[in-house]
Amino acid sequence: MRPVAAFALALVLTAFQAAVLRYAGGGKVSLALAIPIVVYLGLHAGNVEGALGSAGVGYVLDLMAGGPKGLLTFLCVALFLLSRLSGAALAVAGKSGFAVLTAFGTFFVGLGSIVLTRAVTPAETAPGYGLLGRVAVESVLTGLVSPLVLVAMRRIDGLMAREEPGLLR
Amino acid sequence: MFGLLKRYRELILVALLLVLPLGVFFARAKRQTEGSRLDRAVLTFAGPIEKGVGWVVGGGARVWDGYVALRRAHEKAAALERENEGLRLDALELQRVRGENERMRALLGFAQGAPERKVKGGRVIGVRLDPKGLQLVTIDRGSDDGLDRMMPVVVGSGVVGRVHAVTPSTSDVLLLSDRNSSIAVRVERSRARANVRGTGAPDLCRLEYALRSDDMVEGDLLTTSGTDGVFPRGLPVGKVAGLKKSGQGLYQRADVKPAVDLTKVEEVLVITTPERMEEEAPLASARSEPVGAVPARTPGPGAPLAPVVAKASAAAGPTSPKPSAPKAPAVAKTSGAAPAAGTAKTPGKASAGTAAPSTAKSASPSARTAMPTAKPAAGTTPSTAAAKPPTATAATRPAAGTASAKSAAAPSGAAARHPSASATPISRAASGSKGGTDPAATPASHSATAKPRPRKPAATASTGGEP
Repeated sequence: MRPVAAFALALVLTAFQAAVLRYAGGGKVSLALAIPIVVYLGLHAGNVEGALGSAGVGYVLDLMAGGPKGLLTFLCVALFLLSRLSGAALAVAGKSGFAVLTAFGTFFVGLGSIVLTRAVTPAETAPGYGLLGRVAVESVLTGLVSPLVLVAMRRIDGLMAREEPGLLR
Repeated sequence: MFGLLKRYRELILVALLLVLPLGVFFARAKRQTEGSRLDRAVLTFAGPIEKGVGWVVGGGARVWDGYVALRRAHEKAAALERENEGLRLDALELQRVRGENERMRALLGFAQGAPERKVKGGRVIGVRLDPKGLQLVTIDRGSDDGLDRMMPVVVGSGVVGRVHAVTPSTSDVLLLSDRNSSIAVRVERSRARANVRGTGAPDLCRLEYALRSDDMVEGDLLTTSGTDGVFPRGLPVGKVAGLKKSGQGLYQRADVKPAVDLTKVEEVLVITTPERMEEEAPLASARSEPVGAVPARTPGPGAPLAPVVAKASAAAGPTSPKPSAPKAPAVAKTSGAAPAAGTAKTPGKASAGTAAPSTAKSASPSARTAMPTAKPAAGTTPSTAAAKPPTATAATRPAAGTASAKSAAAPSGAAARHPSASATPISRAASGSKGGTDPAATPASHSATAKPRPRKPAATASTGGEP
């Protein structure tokens, strides 16, 4: 159920993000509210459901971005793996750690997107590295709001958690 | 093999999820393809969500703007109110300045329209439109500025009146709406002549001495004919309104709506250049020769010139410079007799009855001008003029004036007021050379400013022109 929930939440969050950004700045800045879901999955989900969920989130991002299919799906799965490695190597605890990891993850996805797109598209239409500034801003903003997504994901996890009857019960 | 797959199934799945999208990306990166059904289905879900979120966010924003953000609205409104008041005052000031600018432009345009004409600008500093008295406005220019009585006062849109009394620093302007004001006009369209007389109401004048046969319709523009010797030719005076053509009588009657809103005049131009006669009639100069002793214009307040003489002589006919000219009877009957008839009976009827058709046009000028002003005055001998038609032309002579001096302020009557005859100042408005050609040449009002003391309506009534 977790991948489906991640997929649905990603869909809602991207739509919400598109609606909110219309009022907030009108596109001067951007957000990537679905990335914290991937990071969350990397930290708290299992391999299969995490990878599936990340692929689902990436698929949603691909759809919403309107770019070549598969790019963000790949990058989200890669981010899932990175998050998983980070969670194993580092003690990412609390909202601030989650926010920092999300910010880095967002930057990673942005950078990877630019690099890969440059690799496959003609030079005249390829995105320039000047976009990294926007990516950095997007990363910071996404990191700042990621604790809210963390809370939402925890709630959803709580809804789906099944109570195991203990021996002392 | 299956054991390996089963053992590393998770790793394989993750690798597939990693590699497959990358392969898809590289495969489809160079050519964009349309979305699959799944893509469209997912996006179909996204649409309502975006709308819903937009509705919620928009509603929240409206709630915020409509309620929460209005916490300080009262103070803000008060501040804005004050600012608005200030801005409104500024706008009013700007509007005033703009209006003044436009008026000044109009005045400037008028002044530039005739460079040879000297004008003096003035500002209205007092208004006395008392229906019981004269319709006067006071301007801030006086004799020190070169102003004199009888000088025409205009604005860009038309005639205002004439200078009535001057002090060193101010002048009273008698508005055209005053009952004592009468201006010789033409119907701009048909060139018919008439007089415009005030009624005492600032927005209404009366048309006088417009022959019933004259082509005139409501809405016709009336401009000064220039034949009264006061106003230059071609200035708008008003428009014909309320035309009444009766089946009988010599004249048609009409109301005139002044071209200038006299209640809103603020800046005026006083034409200080003596008006030259632009409408020289044939032999007009010759006609005026006999009375050449009369100056074309006599300076000084209250001492207008005597066009009357020329008018009267012109009325006497081009070939009758002398009072005893042979053609006198016929013409004199209409010109000279008119005052007398008017004195005796109704002017219109009398003249209508006496004026020969052949002379109706040529002699009607004096008839028109003479009759309306022909009112019996004390000591007048009406029969003098009537009984002796030639005396009408003889009125050009001082000697005849005594008989008809008071009987009419018409050309002949005015002529009678020649200095040598009655020692009364002679109207300069008549300034002979032109006056004789105009049937509507105002005998009254502007031309007959005989009295040095301006505010005596009773006297005005008798002279028909000068208050």
